[in-house]
Amino acid sequence: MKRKTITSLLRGTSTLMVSVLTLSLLGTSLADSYRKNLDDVLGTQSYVTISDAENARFQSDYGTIEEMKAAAKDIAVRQGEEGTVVMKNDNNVLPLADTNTVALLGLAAYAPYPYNSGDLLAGNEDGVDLVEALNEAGVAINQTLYDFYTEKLLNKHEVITQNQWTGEDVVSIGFDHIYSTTVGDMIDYTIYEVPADRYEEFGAPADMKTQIDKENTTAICVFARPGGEANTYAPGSAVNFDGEKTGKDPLALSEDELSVVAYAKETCDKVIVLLNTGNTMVIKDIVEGGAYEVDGIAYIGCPNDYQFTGIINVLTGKVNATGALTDTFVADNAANPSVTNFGGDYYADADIVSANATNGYDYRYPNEEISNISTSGSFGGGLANYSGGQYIVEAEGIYVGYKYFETRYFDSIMNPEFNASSSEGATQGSVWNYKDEVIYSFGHTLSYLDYMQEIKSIEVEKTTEGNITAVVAVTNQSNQDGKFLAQLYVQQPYTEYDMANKVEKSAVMFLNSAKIDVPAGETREVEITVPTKYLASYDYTNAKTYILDQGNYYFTAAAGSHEAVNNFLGAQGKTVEDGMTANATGSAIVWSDNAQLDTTTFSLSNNTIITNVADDADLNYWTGEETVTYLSRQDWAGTYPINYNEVDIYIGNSPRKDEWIATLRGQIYAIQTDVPAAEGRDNGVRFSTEYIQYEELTTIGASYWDTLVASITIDEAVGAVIHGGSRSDVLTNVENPIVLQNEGVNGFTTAYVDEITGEKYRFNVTSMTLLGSSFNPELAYDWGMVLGNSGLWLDRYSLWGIGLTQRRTPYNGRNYEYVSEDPMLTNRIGYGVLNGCTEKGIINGPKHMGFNDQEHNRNGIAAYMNEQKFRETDLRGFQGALDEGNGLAVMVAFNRIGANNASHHVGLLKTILREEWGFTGIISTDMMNNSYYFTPEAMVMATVTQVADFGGDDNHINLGEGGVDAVWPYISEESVMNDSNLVEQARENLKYQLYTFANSAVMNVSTERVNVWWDDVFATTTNVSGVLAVISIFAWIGLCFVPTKKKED
Amino acid sequence: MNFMKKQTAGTFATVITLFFALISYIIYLVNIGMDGYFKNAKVPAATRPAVTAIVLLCFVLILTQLKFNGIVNRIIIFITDLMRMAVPALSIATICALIFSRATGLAFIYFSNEEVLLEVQTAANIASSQWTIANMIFWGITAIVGIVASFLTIKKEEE
Repeated sequence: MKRKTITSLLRGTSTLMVSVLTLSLLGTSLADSYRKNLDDVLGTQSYVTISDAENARFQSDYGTIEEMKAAAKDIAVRQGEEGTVVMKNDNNVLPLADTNTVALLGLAAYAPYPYNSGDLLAGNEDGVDLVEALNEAGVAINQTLYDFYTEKLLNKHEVITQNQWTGEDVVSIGFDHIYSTTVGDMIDYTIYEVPADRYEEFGAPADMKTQIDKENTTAICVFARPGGEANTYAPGSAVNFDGEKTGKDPLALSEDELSVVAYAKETCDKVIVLLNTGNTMVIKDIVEGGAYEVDGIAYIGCPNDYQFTGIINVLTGKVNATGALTDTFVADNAANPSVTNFGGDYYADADIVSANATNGYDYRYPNEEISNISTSGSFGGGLANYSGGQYIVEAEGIYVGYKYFETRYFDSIMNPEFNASSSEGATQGSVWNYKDEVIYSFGHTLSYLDYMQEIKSIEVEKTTEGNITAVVAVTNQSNQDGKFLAQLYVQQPYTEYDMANKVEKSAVMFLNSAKIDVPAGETREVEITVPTKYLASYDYTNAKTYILDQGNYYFTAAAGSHEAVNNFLGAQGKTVEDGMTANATGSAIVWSDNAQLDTTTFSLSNNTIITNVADDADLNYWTGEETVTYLSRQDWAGTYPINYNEVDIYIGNSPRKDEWIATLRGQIYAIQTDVPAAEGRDNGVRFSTEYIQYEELTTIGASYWDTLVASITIDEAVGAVIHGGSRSDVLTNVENPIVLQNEGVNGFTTAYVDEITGEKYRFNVTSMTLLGSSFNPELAYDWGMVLGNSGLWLDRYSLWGIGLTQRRTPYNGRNYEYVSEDPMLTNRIGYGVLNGCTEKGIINGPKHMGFNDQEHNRNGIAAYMNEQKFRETDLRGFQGALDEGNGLAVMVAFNRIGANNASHHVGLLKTILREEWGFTGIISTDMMNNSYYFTPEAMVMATVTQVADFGGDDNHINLGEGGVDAVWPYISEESVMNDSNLVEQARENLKYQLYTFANSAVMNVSTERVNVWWDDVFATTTNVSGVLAVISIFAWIGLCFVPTKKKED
Repeated sequence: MNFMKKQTAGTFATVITLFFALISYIIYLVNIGMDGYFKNAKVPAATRPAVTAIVLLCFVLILTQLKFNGIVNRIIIFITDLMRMAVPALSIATICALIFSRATGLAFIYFSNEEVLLEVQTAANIASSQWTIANMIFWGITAIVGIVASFLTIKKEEE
């Protein structure tokens, strides 16, 4: 071969090998950055856990996987049994008569929401839907309708898509005609229900009506409304089956759905409607007096794999109906004062916040233009943006849901001078009238079995840690044994002091509930307790702390908030003659030991003085005037909220203009430059059981923890906090465990794989909607225990597995993840679940603390409110879980509270959560997504322990241009090393994280990183290409410079 | 005509490499200039090897058109070959830098939960992601063409 040819070949080979080497080296680094994600898509496992099961502190209660599965199934069935709410039951339509056939109508009857496995549906093979549950219960189903719906309309089929990485087939369920499962972000929502007059067009037999034996058939119509992350229903956005905009509420039953009801009424003897949703629907057309009134209505939430068995147990009367409504059903959602301020819009001069040559640049981003006009959704991208242009004003204060309707109702009878019957806020007539506005109240429940609940005694322990203990006698007046629900409500006094100082009081407040089995004809007493601190109200204007007013506190047991308020009215001498909707059905016990206004007992918590921390959440703080009038019961007409997005709010006109702009820009904490931080040194201690003994486990103040975190380097201390990633970061001098985070509001979505059979099983079998409507904190605790046990079986110890945000409006697309419009019901359910999880050592973090009241504009929208609202609504929902419930983690919302990012809010996270509540767990942000309104220094100072991002082991401060923190070029080891406060706070935050790990099942195991096949591929490729590159390059160089032989001839 | 006859196959292959490199860089500039997820999302870690590759290719083409003799010619050939060897590696570095900085964004756009797809899969975001993917593909083509070109002689050694 000619020398020239050999030279060319060597040159080309060298190029090829150098290229492969480059690809392999950079690819290795790239793959390592996304290791957990690659594991997920390639099915590999880079982290293995080694457990010493016998000596583990946290042990499963179930000896075999079959027992574990049975427990999961059992709890799900119980949720169906205890969560199904019979809302209307006329003409003995329920329980279903043994002799009757059931005619199922509505697409959701055959394909209930959710129908595809994922976060909301485990999708196990033995899961049952409505039809299967009816079949199992031996209920006959009309075959003609069944055939028409399943074969002509739905035509259930498998949809096969390919995993874009592995090429593996992914099978999901599809239908030819189905309701939309995606709401979208305040866009039109099509209510895709095939109208009854089009049935024949879709293949129904012409004589279908005659094939229904009317006399002996009960119709069950099922209508669904989905939910979803980043989804928000838009009022007035409904689109009908034909694709025409109707301008109606998407949560109201549509004309097409009502045509199905009409068909059912025409063809069947009785009609039941099941509401299959996490959002409160508008159903006035089918209730008493409605044009399409039906015999029965039941709420079934969003069932998971096994809940339908329980639901059918209720519908067939196998068990008593004990579920209760978690939200108020109204004639028009606009009747909720919270809906007046919803969605949000821009400040009149939102652009004044933008960093540019005109407004001035952000000192952290010299010469970089950063807009304040949002151009992208919550997933980042697009132009550099503070995402701080829009706001809402939560002017309704504490009056969300029943607290508004029942209080206004109470005042319309008891305090006419409060203008409760004025026209403001009336949607059904010229004056406001409770009966017109409210269809079913919060806590509404119908039992099959006659019963009575009567409060027998009340004991109030008026101390910071004290409890209210009520004894409720439940009498089963029927001839069957059964389970019953007892609900405890209170009415606090609304005093002159309150009126003078803007302290609002609901006329009725849910405290707690319990269920009890009572034999036929007998009475049983049930004790209901709740911390006394929840009796206090927050006075943000005068005492600036929690107060307990003097006066009479009425306690009652009732089947719902409306019955409770009627009991209070009855106890105060009122009857239907005074305008009540019904006379009192039970008594109320008065507690009046608080002889004078008490501003001290509840002003201290966990040795922390409670005082205002969120004055700046109030829009009035910024405008310097009474721009916002908060709803007050002392003048319903004069204070009913206006839409503050229709008021021009000028940041530039504020006396606090510069502070406002700085806050919206996220300039909450300026990094100091004059107090050098101590560098971390190896102190000879490690995170291990050798050092973590009883004192260390029980006391975060133990010196060991200080010694341990003092060893963390500056780079790693700050770096590990501002990068959460999908796993915990490894700290050099600590040797802490690797803890993988898991998502799943209904439980761990990771499948348990049987090593022998390969069979998969998923334990995310709960339904938050039905757990809420069970009104049973004990059931919540039981679910927490099952969830915790499932984590132990899966070797997964960290989960974002419950939603505790208050349902402020019916339109939030994530209401299906949350519990209720009521903070105390949320509080008690959260308390139960978290207690159970923590008992099994599972770190279960509730989402999304800090007013995730809407998904629309969730990234950065400012929610303005006063401090009473701030403390007594959304936060109270989390308090049970995180204060007294031993919760180990929490995730913060995306939005702002006032002008300040919730994840920067020192008052919320440090003062209230850490200090007042004594919370020592993990605080995570939601996905930071390179958004400019998240700033690392502010999050560190707010005691955040980890910032949510997609990174892996990324415990260094500045990850560079391509890193998840690319928007923080100003943060580096050099820029923080002279700020001792910041660095020490970061170490303190990591102490919380490590202390939490120590108190969790993470200590059961050690986690090790192992090489998987693609690690070996990269390593081999690197080595081989490296060697070949060196050989070929040297050979090529040699040939290039070896003298050429002269030709002999 | 005479000029064309003097060119080697390696020269033509290098011109094609340069063509693809320029196209790739233009796609990058369009991508960060257009509306969508990656608007203004510059990736200096990708720009540096990309620009270096283009500059090297230009040098290669210029140097190979100049006439040198003896040892100087040999050294020039060696240097231009070294440059040509570096170009594919630089292209691969560009791709990796792009993947590193774009992976999270692409994951949001294509692999988000079903319910958030409506929010994230806007026409602008899809277009932006497609341009990003095209950008990576074109740098891949550049690398492959560059490797092929390096097998071909670009400047004849004096006999």
